[in-house]
Amino acid sequence: MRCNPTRRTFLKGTAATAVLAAGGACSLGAWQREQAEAAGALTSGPSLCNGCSSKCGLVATTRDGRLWTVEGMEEHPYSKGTLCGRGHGTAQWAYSDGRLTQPMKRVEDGSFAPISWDDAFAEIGAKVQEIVAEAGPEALAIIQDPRPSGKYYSKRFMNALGSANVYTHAAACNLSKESGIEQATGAQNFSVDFANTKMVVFIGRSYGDAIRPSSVKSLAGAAAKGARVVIVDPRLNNTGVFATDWVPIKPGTDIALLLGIANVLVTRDLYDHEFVEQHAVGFPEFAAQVADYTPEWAEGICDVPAATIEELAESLAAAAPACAIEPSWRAAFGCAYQNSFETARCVCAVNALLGSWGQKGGALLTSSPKAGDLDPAKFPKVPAPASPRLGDEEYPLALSGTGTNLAVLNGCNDGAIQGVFFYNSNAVQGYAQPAKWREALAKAKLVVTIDVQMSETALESDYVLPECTVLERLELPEFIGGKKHYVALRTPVLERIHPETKPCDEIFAGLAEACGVGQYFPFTVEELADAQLASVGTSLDEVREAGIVELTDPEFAYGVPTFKTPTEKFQFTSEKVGTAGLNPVIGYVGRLVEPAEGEFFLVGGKQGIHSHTMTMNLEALNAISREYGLERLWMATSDAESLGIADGDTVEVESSEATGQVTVKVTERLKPGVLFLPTHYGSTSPYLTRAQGLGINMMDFVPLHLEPKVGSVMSQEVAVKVRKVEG
Amino acid sequence: MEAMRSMRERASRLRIAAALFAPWGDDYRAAYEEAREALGPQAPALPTAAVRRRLERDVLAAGAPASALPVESLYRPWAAAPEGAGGGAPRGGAADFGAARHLFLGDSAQHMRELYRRLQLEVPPPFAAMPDHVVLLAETVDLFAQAGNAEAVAAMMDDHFGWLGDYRTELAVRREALDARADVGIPQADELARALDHAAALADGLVALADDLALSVRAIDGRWDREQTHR
Repeated sequence: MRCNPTRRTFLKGTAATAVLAAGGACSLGAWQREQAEAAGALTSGPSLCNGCSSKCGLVATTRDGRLWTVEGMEEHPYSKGTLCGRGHGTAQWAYSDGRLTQPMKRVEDGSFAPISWDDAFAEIGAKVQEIVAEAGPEALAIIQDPRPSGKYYSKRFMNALGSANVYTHAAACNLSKESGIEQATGAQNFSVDFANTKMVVFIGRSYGDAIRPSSVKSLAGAAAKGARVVIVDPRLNNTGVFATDWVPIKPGTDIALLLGIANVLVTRDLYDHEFVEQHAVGFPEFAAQVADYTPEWAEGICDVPAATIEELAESLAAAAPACAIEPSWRAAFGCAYQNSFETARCVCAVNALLGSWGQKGGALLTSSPKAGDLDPAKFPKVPAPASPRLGDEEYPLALSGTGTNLAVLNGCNDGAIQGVFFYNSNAVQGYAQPAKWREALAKAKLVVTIDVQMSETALESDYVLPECTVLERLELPEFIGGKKHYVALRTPVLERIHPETKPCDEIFAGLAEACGVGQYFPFTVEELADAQLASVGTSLDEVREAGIVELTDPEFAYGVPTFKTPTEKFQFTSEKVGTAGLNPVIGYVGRLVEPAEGEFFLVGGKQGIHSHTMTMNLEALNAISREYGLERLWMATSDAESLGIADGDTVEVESSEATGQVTVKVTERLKPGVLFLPTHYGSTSPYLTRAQGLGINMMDFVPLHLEPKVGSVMSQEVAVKVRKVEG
Repeated sequence: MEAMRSMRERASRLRIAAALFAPWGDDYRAAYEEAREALGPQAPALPTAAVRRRLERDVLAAGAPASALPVESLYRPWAAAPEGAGGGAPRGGAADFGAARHLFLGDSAQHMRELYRRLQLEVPPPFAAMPDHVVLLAETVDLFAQAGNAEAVAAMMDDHFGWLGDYRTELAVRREALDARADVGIPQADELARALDHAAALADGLVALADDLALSVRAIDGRWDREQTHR
């Protein structure tokens, strides 16, 4: 907006002199009393939280149009009536003074200036068309952290341009884990039947620190029933309140523990013969390998006593099939080590030996609903891009639905990628070594970020396009799988607060128009949502009203599932893994980086009130972090004593890539030789005024290296030194 | 009569000074010229184009590196409504954000929306999230003053200008923070520093003019024992 200097007033309309002169204006105090006494127009509307990728259902209530409360949606399977701290904190985004409120363009001096939407679209469109003309559409890419509308529109936009380069955040999240599970079972994930389990082993994952109130409730229920809950983690994490055992383990060696357990199950004939003989392939090759992975061998690698490994194996066997190794998410093997993919396969192998696949109390594969086919006249099909996605050839084991976004980083460096779009993604800060991301993006001809705040990724962009917050927008339906199927969606509960922000469907449609592919976006998000919902037997009106609708019963039944592998069986050996150049038989792969004398392992993890780098600038959540010193680096008591470090001291952390200073928390809850750093801190964006400079960012310390054939970031393959900062 | 004339003059000056917090872009000189004519020696110095540009982009904008918007909601508790009040307590009780600051559209903004409604005034779209922006607050005060409604002027000064001191503090905090992190990714940090200094000078001027107006209102009718507004 620019003000007209000949008109020195801003308020529109002409207040009648009589009204202005009449009596006293209603004072603020009187108005507040009126509000308190009045009924107030309370309105509730459903949405899905955006505090993390779970998208728990919530009900937002407004009073006279202003947000009043947010609560977990009772019927939603992920919230079950509860919202976590993130959910409450991120509701503040709508009103936060830290939001971007208008499109921004980088100008010559490196700063950002406002730009109109029309100009932004036109300039971006021109640059995209220039890139396509010179280097082909395959020189374009988009990286997004999937959300209901974002994942649809970002893919459609990029494919419409002719590029297959659509990536998610998975390479820095759970790519290795899901790829490994897929090779073993045909599914990308599984769940534990907590309602009936007798024993569950968590490898690194902490429900108490991250994701889904329903998971915490399920685990609490299992613990209350007397289930044995084992936490295998260098750190006694906050799930410890439900645990019966804490098994401190050397980071990145969970695979050895799992193979040691497998050894006991196989060599002592404690495994499920029927499952192995009827529903699996490759067992003889696996058994031959696992014979070498004795508990004593495993102890030498993972530092868990052989007796403990034996006891865990025997206890699991006794509990079988009502037991499971939990699948984890990011934590220990989502993307952390050179062996993360193989660790995931080992998790699946142990569950197979226990015969727990599909069994009551065991590891369950369930199905997910999706929208049916839509009328191509209204929703035109986008032609498949001619060129394959960058990175797929080098990383053939990466999930087809995610790819590895680090191919974009490498592509920017070698010129294969010249234009990059980011949606709901702070890749620069969180997906790999930030300095490498900056270096790579500086070589691109065009970088566009769509976000609500000026993240580190936005800061490296040419254009930053502000999205309105979740509570202000309608999104496409979110289909929810499990024993039952549901569909829910985000509805606008608040009027658009900042007029120059837009929902992503409008942003992508505008970009598409400017880029010359607008013909693939002839529909509104309402029309598309309604059509998708109609294809599964419901409607936009019904889901708006109900918040969540249960779909056709998938008729889940316990029993060995149909494995959607090429062999239609559980795969102890996978042809695709062999073709990729790795050992086709599930087996041992070590971690890459071993700390030298005087160095430490460094592991990261989430906190219950934050999600990655997304939430730290929110006033309430930032205040909690500062109040409780949540940015602190954890160090074991014995290590601190030997280094002369006391609780609350400042230390310098150093790796091959970076140094940084942070306050220390000395604790007994950590295995000696290991440091734990919560992964939400160390923001460097001067626009994130509350977040900038608080703590240090783990990814700054990790070298850029990708897991072979999978392409994950190997986020914990790093060794660090620590010293006390004097004075 | 003299007191009323004085009130009108002071309200007009407050409005002109507050208008310097609006986004003028390349046309800012005219706004400063008007201020110079109205305020005389109290008028702020004309900044360079570069400093004014940084002020508008990086100080008077949300989500900016030195963001310090003169919007009342940001410096007050967001909502004062008591728990469960208002016919049919919502599940969960009171507004979750009651005590929080640095959020747009708090009680002060809602109150101003009600006032604008009663006065049949519309907030221009760029201020949609900021009906309690100091530009609009001062303009409203001026409208009441020119209509001779001293009671309304007094109420507005009492209700909606007490946060200027906190705003001034916020600018100082931003200035200190900039000095502390000047080496971290801010282009031409010295230029931004001058923009913050200029904003502080504008805010100081505004505080003085608001005090002046509050005193002049008190002189009209001793029934209103209003304290100086910026404390």
